[in-house]
Amino acid sequence: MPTPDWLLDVEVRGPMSGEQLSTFSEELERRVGERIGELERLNAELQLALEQKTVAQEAQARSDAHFRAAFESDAVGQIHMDPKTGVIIRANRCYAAMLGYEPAEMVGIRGSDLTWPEDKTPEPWSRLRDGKVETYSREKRYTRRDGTPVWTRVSASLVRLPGSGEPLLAVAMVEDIEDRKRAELELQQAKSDLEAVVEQRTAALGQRDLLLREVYHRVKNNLQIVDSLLMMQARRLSEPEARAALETLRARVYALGLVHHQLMGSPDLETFDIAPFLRELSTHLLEGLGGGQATLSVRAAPLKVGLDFAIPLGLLVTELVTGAFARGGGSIAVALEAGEPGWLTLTVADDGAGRDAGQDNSLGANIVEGLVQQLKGTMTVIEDGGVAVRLPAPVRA
Amino acid sequence: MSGTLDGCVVAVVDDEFIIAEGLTLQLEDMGMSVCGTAATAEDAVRLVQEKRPAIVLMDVRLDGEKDGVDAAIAIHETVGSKVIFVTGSREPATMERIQLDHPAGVLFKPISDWQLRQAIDAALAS
Repeated sequence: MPTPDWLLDVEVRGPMSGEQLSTFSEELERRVGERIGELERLNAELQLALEQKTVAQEAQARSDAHFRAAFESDAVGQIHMDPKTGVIIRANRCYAAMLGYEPAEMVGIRGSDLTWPEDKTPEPWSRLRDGKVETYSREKRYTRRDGTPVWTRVSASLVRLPGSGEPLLAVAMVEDIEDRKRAELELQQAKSDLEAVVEQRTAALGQRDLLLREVYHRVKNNLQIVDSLLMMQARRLSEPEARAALETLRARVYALGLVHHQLMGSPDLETFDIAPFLRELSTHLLEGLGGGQATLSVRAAPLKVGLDFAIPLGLLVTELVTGAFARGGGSIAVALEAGEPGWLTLTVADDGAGRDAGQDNSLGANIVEGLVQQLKGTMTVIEDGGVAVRLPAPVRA
Repeated sequence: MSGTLDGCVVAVVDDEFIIAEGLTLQLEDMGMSVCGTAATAEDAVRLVQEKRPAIVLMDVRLDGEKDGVDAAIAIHETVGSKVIFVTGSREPATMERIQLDHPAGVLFKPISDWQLRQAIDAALAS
């Protein structure tokens, strides 16, 4: 057993005296005491170091556990890649499952090889590698094991060595956005389907407007033909009464034409305001009858009407105004007013001789009676001259 | 009845014979004189250039490729008769087309005596 080095410098020569021995013994004890103290200190330091190491190891273990837990999270796919080659070093279960693989199978595959061909673009990756961006995020499709695409959102970053900045690890978070993408595509499809339908409907409406205008045009042209025939016939008649009868027919034809004229000018080609129509019709009738001296007042509340209401009403007004003029009325008042809700009152009042409407004209009386019935109204004779017709308002938007 | 219309010479252009005939009678009953009728734009221009009427009643839709507006423009440039358009339509396209010729008036079918007289009075006064 070798002599410990701390004993070597204690010189022992020949037999020692009692004093010498005692001195040596003291020295020895002193030195041993020193060494023990040293050892105890070392031991304490060692203990401390050991404790510290344990704490560090535990912390490391905890950190690793956290890291593994995060990496293996089901919520998001994760891959670690060699930053130089892009080869997968490890992939979590979520990522592997997204593409139809086991995690272990993915190790060694280049991430970009799994990208759907149409979505391959090296640019984002190279910008990251060259340090132009810290992270990048983009939506792209991966190719599943079965060859089908899956839409994902990839967020990638590089872990670099402190100091040199050398890329150490490429980390990518991969989120399955298939549902969202499908919803987006479906929404887009639905939107373009809707647009196509709207376009079709618009075209159909345009077509309908075109047809309606053409129909109204032809109706008016045919009414002009009827009017011309009446004039031609009137020329052949010598009896003034017969000619006058044809003139009243012309007035009725004109009323029909005016309804179509109003329809043609209305935006929807279906409804128009009755007020200007009544004004134009009454004015025209009186002028046509040569009643330049007679005064006419027309009062009508704005009311949207369609063909079904305007034709009988227009013809009714034509008969009543013609009748009023025939009775010699110098002042004729036409009014269409809303009474109780849902009802209208048409009055054609005059200061003529006060005979019952249409008494002098059996056809006129017949037409008035029939039209009032058609309009589901009731007619009363006004004492001062003229008639009032109470009729239900047309039901229409 | 207005006396200013007496003897006024009018040409009637309409591809419907009966309408042209009816308008002629209407004008004559008002004391005017109809110098002729035409059914196409070409015939209308020829008629107007020959007879030089004061007024032309011009249908917009005519037989043949050219319409009443084409004829009216030619008349406007050569003879200068006042053209009153007669149409069954009040659709924007027709109205726009009519405005190309600074019309002296526009009448919508069916045309009453009163309207016809008013339009001719106004055209002669312009």
